[in-house]
Amino acid sequence: MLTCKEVSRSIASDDVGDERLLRRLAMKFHLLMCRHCRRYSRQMQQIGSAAREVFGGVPAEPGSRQRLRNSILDRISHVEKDDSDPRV
Amino acid sequence: MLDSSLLSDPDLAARIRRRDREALAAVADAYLDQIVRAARGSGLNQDQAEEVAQNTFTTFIETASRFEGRSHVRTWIFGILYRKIQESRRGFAKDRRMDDIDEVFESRFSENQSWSRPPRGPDKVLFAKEARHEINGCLETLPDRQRDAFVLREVEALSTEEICKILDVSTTNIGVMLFRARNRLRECLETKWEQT
Repeated sequence: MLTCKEVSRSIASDDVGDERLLRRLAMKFHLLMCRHCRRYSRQMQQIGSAAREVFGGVPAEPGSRQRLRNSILDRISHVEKDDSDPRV
Repeated sequence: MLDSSLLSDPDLAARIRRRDREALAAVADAYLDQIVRAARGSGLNQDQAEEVAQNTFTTFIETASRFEGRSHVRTWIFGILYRKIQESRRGFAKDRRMDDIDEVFESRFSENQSWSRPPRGPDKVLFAKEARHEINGCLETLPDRQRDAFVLREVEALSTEEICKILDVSTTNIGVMLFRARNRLRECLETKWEQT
């Protein structure tokens, strides 16, 4: 049997995805039985979603993005092509 | 308009190495937004984020001939970004070697490893709302590297393997960093909730 501490540690460490099947099932079973771990697990997921919503939705202001993009592309347009790569 | 199909060109790595302008431009165009967003996620304001993004691509262009193509070009660029962010932090690095979050986590369990202080907080809907509202403030309390690991994992949805390469840490280490980041954020939200 997995303990609450093992389950919550695995969840927070992302130590869940590629674990062996048996352990994954044991985790699922534990979460089914334990409301505290269920809440912990749900809160962890919600913290991730909150970060995605808050930061994923920060688009650069269109004007400044354009300026930044142009300046990088301008830098690239001055690049001297290097044909001396021995690996090619 | 730039040709984004260039990115799946099997010769992309070689073209980057040759500093082929079209390939460099396609790469810059594809990852510019992600790089600015990740820089913002690391705690920089918009101006600082744009500046570090600009420097990142400048370095990318200058070092392109060394790109071997062993890792994804995105990994390479993110690696440049986080090295730049780390450098700029060194000047005002706080001593954060002490990590009390491990003890806080331990203290929530009894000797038989079940919860002695179970997680608290409002119901599902309210917790989501509170998390959105408070996450910025709580992220400020994270040590820099933990914050970087968390943002790359949750916001950029990169694999732990890729994050290891970007931040130059071991697989074990990345697990510990994520564990600490998430627990610190959860404790922060719980405390804020209890104070209201």
